[in-house]
Amino acid sequence: MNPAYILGISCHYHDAAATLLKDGLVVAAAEEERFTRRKHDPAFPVRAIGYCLENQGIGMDSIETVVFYEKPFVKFERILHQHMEHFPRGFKTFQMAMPSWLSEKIRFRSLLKKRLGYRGEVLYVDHHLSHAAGAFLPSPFEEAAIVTVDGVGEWTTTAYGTGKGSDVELHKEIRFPDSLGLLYSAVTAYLGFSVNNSEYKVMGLSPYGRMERSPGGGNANPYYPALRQVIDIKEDGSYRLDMDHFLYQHSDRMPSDRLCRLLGGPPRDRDGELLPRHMDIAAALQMITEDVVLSILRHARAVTGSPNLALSGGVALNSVCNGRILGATGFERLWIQPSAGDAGSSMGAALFAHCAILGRPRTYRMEHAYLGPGFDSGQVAAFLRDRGIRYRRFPSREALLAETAGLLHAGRVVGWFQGRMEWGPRALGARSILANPCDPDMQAVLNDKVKHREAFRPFAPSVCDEDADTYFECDSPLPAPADFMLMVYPVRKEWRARLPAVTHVDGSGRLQTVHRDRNPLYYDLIREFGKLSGVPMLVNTSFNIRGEPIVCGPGDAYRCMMGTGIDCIVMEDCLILRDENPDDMWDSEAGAED
Amino acid sequence: MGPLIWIGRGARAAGFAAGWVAFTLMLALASRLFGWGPGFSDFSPYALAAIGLCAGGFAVRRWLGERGPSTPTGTAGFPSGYRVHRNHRKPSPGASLRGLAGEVRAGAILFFRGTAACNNFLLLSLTYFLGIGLSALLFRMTGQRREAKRRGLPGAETYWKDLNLGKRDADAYFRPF
Repeated sequence: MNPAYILGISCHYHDAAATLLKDGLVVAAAEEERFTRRKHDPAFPVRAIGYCLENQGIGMDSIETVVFYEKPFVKFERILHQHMEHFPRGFKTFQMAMPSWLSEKIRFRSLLKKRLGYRGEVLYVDHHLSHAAGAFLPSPFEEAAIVTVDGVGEWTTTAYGTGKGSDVELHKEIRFPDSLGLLYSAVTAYLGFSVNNSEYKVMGLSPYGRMERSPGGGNANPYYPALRQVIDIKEDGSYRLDMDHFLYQHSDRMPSDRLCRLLGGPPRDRDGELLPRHMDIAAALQMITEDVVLSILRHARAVTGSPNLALSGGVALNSVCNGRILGATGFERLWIQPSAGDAGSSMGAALFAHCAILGRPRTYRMEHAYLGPGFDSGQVAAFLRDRGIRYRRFPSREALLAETAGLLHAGRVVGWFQGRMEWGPRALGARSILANPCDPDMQAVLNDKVKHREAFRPFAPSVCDEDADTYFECDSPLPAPADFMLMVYPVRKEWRARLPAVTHVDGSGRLQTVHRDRNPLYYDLIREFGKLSGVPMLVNTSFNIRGEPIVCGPGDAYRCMMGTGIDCIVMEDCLILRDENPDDMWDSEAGAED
Repeated sequence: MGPLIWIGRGARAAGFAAGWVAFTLMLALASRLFGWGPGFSDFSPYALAAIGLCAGGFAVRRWLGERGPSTPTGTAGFPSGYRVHRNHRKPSPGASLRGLAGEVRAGAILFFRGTAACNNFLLLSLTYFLGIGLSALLFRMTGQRREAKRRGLPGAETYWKDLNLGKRDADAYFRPF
């Protein structure tokens, strides 16, 4: 019997992606941005789809069903409603939005026919249902409470419900324009960072501000009571925004003049200096986000009675908040898909179609996130030879581990390109830049010479799963999202001085736990490094040039190394040293944009 | 690379000019069909109108924040930054001609993108003020109470609304609404 292939697609807003199921199992998934090299590329994901099909050696004629991650006409209704409500203030955004809506977004089926020659069955799953399915169906839970929080789908911005077996249901919602995700984005824009791209930078900035909610006292954050004026939060976690402070309903700007006055001045310029008040604003925003999310979760726990939580939506990528969930909400177990944002909805939509719509057994449980393209050592060597790039091959696995660990221990910055590419925004030891966490200068070296990014940005560690408790004050048992670098925990006090490169200003770290059965080479590398340094842990940051997505293929990785301060790449069993290829050096910082 | 870039730019300018000429001829033909203007006896007003529409379109694109007049890159120029992965395969003899043809095409596309942007602006403005405007008037006459009900009144006990979104009949998933 032929296998049943279902293709899930998300696109048109941000983070286009494709996921392929074979008989209910996820066999391939990738974001379009990795192929087009345009960050958060929203375009129809032709290349990601092409990769998924090539992975299985099939064409579109083998696809049983294509599933789209939202209901485009319902979203269009919301857009038109916004324009009606705010006429004539939305004239400019109407001009900006309508061409793409009329030519592409409401014509998904014709797009499939035109771009892929596909004339088969197409299903449409509501946006937040796709999120909910993407959180629950790949999780290890047989039943769970589900909470989804993002910017906006069709109308819903926040929802909660339950999952049981193969069924997913959302019971309650909060609707646009009340949106926690858009509040976060509006303040991100106020702080001079790019929206839908740099919210995680605001999260990283927040520990530099004052984290005390109560007024009075030296550490009280004056912006917390100010920001609380714009959001009315109920005991049950539901909330309502005062829309006089926001313009996103009808403008391409997000914060209004009123919000700017409340926050003490005009928005920060993109290249402007980061002042202590900006840090306080980031801290206040983070506190409010945690207030809302934790209240919602406590309510969901009380209403559903389930000890398990599956969390999804872009706000679920706020790993600082995630680190507090198990201690503050009554939930005992937590699961978050590594691609919790819109890209992950392609997986959720496909799994929902398989389980709930087509009524097939739920068999897939996500244990790792290595779902993207991989390149074997023969392909890598052929690439390097074709281009006359100087490299050498490791004679054995042991030699690879020993030499790489030695380079890391000597303070080198190593690009690590192994196996299949990660699914989701975090690098998890397949497309990573690795460094020594014990080196006090390493954070500055990485920020300045390699990643060319703001000095306040911290780096995250990878640690073997059984060692997590040694170095971090984490939940016990450690929740699965730590495997996907979605949890922030305090570094144990006795280790903070010895791990300066991965300890943030408030003593926390966003760890990735590595399991030997899921990524044996990376696990063994960490162990090998531990033999030399005494600390089995590595700095793990994403392998990319500033402003670009994480690298996908050997060409991207080589180009990234030659344009930055990375000393070498270990690409499968090949070692390429930057200094041995001087002709290919270039300056990636010229023209780079966030 | 110096002379090659200039040749490419020249080809692109030639393509732009070709687009301009073609659009001018189309306007002249259209005006002759409708009996407006001087027809084929004097092309200058049509040429001015064509370039005006194109320039207007670029102005609209700039106002909307689109990044300059976007052009598909031909092969004569290289993007800044990393130039090439060193590749020991030599380019084929036909590559230069194909590259030049690409630049001419790019120039023509650039012209028509401008006129299309202007055209879109005019049509969408009409739709906005007539379609959205009239609907907005009706909405304001009846919608205030609905809006308050939709969002929940400030001071309500809860802002959660019923959603009850779960498995439905299969037909519901075949619809994009």
